[in-house]
Amino acid sequence: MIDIPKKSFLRKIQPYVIAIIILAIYIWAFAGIQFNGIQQMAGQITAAVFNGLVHPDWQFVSAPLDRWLNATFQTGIPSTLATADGEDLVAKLLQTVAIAFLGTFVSAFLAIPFAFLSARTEGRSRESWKQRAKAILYLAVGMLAVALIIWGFRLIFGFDVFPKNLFIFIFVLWFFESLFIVANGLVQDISKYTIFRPKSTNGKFILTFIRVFPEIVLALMFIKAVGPGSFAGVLALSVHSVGMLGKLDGEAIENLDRGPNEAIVAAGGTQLDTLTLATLPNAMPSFLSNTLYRFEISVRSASILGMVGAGGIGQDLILSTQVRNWPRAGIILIGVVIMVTLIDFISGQLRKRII
Amino acid sequence: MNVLPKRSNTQRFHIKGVLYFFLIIFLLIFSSIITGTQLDQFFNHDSLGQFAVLWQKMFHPYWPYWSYVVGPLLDTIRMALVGTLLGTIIAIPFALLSARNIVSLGWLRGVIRVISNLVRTLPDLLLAAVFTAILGFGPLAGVVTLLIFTFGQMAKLMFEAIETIDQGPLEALEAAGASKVQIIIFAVVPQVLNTFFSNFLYTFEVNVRASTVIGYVGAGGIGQLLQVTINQFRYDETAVIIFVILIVVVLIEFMNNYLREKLA
Repeated sequence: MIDIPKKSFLRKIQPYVIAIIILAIYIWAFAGIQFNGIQQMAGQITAAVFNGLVHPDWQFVSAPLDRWLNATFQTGIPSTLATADGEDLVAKLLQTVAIAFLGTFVSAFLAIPFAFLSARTEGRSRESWKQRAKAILYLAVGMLAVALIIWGFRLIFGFDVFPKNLFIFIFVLWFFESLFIVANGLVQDISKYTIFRPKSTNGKFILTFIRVFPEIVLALMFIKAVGPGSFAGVLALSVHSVGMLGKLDGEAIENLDRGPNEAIVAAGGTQLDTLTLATLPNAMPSFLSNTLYRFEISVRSASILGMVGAGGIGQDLILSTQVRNWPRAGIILIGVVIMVTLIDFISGQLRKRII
Repeated sequence: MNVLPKRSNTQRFHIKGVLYFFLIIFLLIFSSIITGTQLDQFFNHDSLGQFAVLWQKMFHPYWPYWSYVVGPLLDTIRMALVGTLLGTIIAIPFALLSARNIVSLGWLRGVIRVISNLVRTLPDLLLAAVFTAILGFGPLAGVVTLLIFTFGQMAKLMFEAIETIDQGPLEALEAAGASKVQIIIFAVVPQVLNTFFSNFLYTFEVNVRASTVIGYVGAGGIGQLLQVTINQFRYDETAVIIFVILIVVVLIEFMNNYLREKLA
């Protein structure tokens, strides 16, 4: 007779336990949100918003044309806009795309070193203590280099804020990382687990750290440095995009076929040869595709950066919602939808060709 | 005898590559002019000095501020949970209706797809700005924003998952005379359930990230504190908020990776 293996008690109640936990989480979530905050006027405002979306403010688009017609043919079209140049929808959308383009371009280059740092290309085999000591040494050199770069900036531009304990800070960081490496070595020697990889774990952590800064916060920080305007938006996007691009590019490097690299090593090539002849040519299509993908997202980001004064269309939208100019908000939303759809389409076509 | 294939002139002089190169250079110059980018505006004594002061403040976080952060942080997670759930519920019928193997009417699929595509183009903060204007400040506007945001993503992810399922069970049920609803319950749902949970967790992760920011325009959650502290130049408090967000995001990422590995 065949015994049907009996499910253990824990195994039997597992689905119910999971269901109860999820239910409890959701009861907690729903109970905590105050639904009473609805404005009295919500219905009216919704109607006004829809009205604005249906009857958008076309003058926001046609302002330059109106101005030109008025100037050359004396047509006398009434214009509600201030006559300043570059304050119409198309100009603002172009500015938004320009911010996204520059930001993505810069971050595409900035991301590559981080990508190589975060890619887990170390072998799966156990390291020897000699290799671990080497890792600790490399770590010290790398951190010292970073500290010296910051120190150099300080010398060149002559600001005196980073205190002398920058080096102490770096040293403490290095000390703890060394402890990690040693602890990880001990764990590796007695079991098969690897918890800390000196290169890729550091790289991945740095990228997560960059990604956690919301682009709006970065924009505000750069506004403090360079003043409000598109340039702050460009800087914010160049830094923020590195977090995601570095992660995607790093994953692309991880997924590369190691064969070509090994072939070059076997034929007597140097490390530099494997990089320029195998890794880079193989990874380039993925890098390009990731960059284009990030460009699509950057366009969306750039269209909200204006809300904090970093240039682009966001400023006009937040202004028009604040003064309840719904026709204006309507045309801006329509403009953003068209712009994003167009960029997505173009970038999608290009990405199809690359891969 | 082997003859080397001749390269055309276009290939020999890399006409395409050169053209792309000049196109990109042109776009770069053009965008720099539009955005008023001047590198020396940032890399000079004053700007970098300001920037360094800011970072120095952020490197000395004001830890007692922690007690103010916990409440809004929980609000943020609640908003993400509720928004993801409600948005997903709305997205399911849209995903089903836009899948080729379930709905044979071409125009209906087209209309539904256009709707969810248009919704997906709107950035989260733009939506938040509109909904705070309609619903007033508070978590409710945030929930509605995340709901719409989730809807756009889930509708696309799920419709792609549904279109790639195995057709066999569907045809078998159809041959046995099952109704559409029965086909969906017994052939579609079992096949996409794992993908569905995996996508749900992914969307939740995205929403947690989004919900930390949307408070900035008044839609509840930790973003409001970001705005307050930055406006008061209390970067030491901002650092605490960012640190807390870092921990939450890393924890949720870690948990999601674990759960999704189990599902796959």
